[in-house]
Amino acid sequence: MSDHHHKETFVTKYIFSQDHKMISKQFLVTGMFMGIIAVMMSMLFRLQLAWPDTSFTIVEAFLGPHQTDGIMNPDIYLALVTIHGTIMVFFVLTAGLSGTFSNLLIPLQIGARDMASGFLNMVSYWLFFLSSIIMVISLFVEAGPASAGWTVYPPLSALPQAIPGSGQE
Amino acid sequence: MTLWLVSMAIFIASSLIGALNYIVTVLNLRTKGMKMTRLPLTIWAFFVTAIIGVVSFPVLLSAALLLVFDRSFGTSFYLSDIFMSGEVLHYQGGSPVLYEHLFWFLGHPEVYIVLLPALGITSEIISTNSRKPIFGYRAMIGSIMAIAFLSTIVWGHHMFVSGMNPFLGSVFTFTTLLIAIPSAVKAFNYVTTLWKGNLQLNPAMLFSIGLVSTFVTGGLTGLVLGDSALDINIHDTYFVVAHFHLVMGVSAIFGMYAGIYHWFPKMYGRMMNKTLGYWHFWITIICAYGVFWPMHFIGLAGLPRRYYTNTNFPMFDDLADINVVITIFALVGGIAQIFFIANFFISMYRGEKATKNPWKSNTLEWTTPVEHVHGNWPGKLPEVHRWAYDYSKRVDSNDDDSDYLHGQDFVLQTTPLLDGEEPS
Amino acid sequence: MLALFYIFIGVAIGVSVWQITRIMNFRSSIANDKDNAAQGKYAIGFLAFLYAMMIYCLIFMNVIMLPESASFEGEHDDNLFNITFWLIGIVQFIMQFLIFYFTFKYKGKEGQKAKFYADSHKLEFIWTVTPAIVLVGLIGYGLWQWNNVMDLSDAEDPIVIEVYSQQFRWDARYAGADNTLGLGNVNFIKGINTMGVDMSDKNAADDKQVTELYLPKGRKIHFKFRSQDVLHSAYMPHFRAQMNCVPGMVTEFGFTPKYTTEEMRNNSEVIKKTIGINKIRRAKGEDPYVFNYLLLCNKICGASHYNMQMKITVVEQDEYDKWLSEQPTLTEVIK
Repeated sequence: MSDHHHKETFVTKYIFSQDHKMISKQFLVTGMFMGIIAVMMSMLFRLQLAWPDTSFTIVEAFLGPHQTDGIMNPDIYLALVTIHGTIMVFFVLTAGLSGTFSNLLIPLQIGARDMASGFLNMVSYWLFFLSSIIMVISLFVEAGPASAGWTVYPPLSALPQAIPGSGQE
Repeated sequence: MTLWLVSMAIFIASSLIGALNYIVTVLNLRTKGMKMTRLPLTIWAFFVTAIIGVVSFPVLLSAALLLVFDRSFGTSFYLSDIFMSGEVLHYQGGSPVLYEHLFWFLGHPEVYIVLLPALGITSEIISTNSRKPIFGYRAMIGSIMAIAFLSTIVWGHHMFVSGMNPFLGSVFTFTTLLIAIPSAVKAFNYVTTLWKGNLQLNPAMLFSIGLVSTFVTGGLTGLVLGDSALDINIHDTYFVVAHFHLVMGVSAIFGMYAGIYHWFPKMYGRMMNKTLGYWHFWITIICAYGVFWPMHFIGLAGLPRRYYTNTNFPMFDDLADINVVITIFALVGGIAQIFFIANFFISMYRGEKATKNPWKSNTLEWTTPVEHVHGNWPGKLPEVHRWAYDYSKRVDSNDDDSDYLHGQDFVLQTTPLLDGEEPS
Repeated sequence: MLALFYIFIGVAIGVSVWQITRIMNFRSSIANDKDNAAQGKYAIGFLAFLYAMMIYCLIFMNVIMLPESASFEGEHDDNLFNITFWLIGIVQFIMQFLIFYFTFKYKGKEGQKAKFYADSHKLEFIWTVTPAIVLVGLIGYGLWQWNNVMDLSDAEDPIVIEVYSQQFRWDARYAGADNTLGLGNVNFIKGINTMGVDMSDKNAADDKQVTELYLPKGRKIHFKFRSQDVLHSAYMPHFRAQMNCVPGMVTEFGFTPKYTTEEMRNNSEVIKKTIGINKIRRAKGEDPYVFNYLLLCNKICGASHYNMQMKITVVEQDEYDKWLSEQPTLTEVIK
């Protein structure tokens, strides 16, 4: 198993750690961060549903080109519910829940020193982190984020002409 | 959309690698004496969840991949006979229903991938804080496995009105009925664990109890949706939204919160503040029900989901007030999560320093030192002699007032058996 | 720009909270008897809130509900609904009571001992078998009803109507005297032939294209759905009917209308709901609402998914015949 005397730098201890306890905390904090984004989205579209004719400065602030005078446009509404669902189901409740607690508890509760492969565990986290970054970037592309619902059924999700969010980006 | 697909593909890779790691670790790295039947229910839950993940995530990857091909390479897996922007598109021969099958083949197990860890965490927290064994340990394991197996054969209940052959609808209704039973068994077992306990109402425990409550509420409405004839009128309405938010959204988030409050001392060596925890819990559960209970009714009234506004249908005008109430509860609930975020980050630095086993729990993680050690235990690995649920074990098992067998109301899994003690 | 301002406010609040907490006491972390007593009381309080909210909604939201089924086939749907709701309602009230009452009754106290009760085969048996039996009953009825609704093979003399969906409108095509629709496919869309009907198919000659549906009371209507572009869903909630419209496929659904639009307008539940709606509309200065059956889109289909509807009017057979005879056939329209 791991060498108890290897020297740990800041990078190997906090960033590219292979220790399951550190990785669990990484999953948790990333999951929480994504969750905050998804909750904010839900608050925006709930505002739209309750008061569809009311102008909100917060809508104006956060939705930029996708709103008109503080009221969001129809296609960004669909984008918000899509990304809210995607982030919550996958990034918060799968990675943030499974990723955190499986990593923290499996070795500790079964009496193991660490996961079977600390390296793969680390890769798993950094792939998750990468996918989170890409998902956040997808919010800012010109055509708008994916908008066909978190289930992204085609043909709506397959054809850029069907809805802007299905564009090539 | 392409970025979304790329992100998901990478996410799936991450999940698969993680799942493989969890399965191999649970099967191969258990310490001496840790038989599978002595594992805490959290581990059973994570283990089975990982297996479901390995089985179903690749199918989502295939669905996404075929979608990428249709979008970028002109294939027709999902597309046929489409006229758009003034012309007939070239796609021929595909079907959107194929996508739905592929997606939901993951999509349904996915919700159990979300839920089972939360249920496992709840089992652990409820039994620790009730100072009682989890009721029906073997039944709980059986239920987890039944749910896992059945979850792979119910996906069509998301597709009753998709245009698929109605006979399939009948099959999926039947299998969906079956999956209700182990879920019900788990709920009853949780309530029985609470019965005649000595309940330590820490925030983690409250969230676990809250999970049982929302799981029951959401699960029961699932019976309505799973019955194909009833689903016809409520498919894709707010009834569905209310159902899955309660049973998956709120329940799993409560499981996550419960786990964080409970294992924070293990993660950061400090305790979270209980007063903030109590405020967080009560505001959240009140708002959660306030958002999703009324939502059932607007769904029954026929309001479709994913509508930007309802003002184009006068017949929905009388639902507007309910939407306002839901939004207000949602805004308050959303903002109240600040209690948690503040508590989380501040306690990391300023929380009360934790002892080794603050919740007086039996499981092995509480035998490690508070300061993290690479390799978890500084010396030899612990040896296990019993299951994880010997709370309040008595000298005389038939007499509820007799003394504790080991002098206190919990027995670490590493404690050897006394002479004459029944092995477990 | 404004976003930055909001983020700055957020950060400012965060920093203030951080500074305030430096002087706060973070030392209390584990529940003691006093906490348990308080939380136990709150559990009962919450139970009262939950019951109150559930009961309030169950009673006072009746007025917004859909009226009784407007189709004969839907009657059993509603019956099954009611039975299911009573069953799950009873279970819900009992379970929530047990959960929160136990939280209160067994709250932790110093010196109190919990009961070591790990297993009971009898109990497990009871609460595995009982739900199973109840569910078999429910699902049995449900499957019978599903077959009832979805099996259109034994329908006597149904009226065949094609409902055609596209972004963002509905069209319909009546099969005419031969009750057979001509072939329809997007490749035939040209000019005024917006539904893509193959005019060389002799069955298409007497088809009639319309933009609103007239249905005769008491006759089985056999709908065939098509989509021009993306997934849509034909949702007719009053008739307990829904079916996805899939491009590349013809999907089907059928029902028999039970009440004419006039009769439904005089239905007591509809009257109550209409009064409620019109009170709201009057206050906003909008035209009053008159009940009409409706077809709406129920599968996310793009930006105007929220505004895709078609009016349905149910009339007596003779009025239907008269209306239908006034509609031009496709051969008359598409020269």
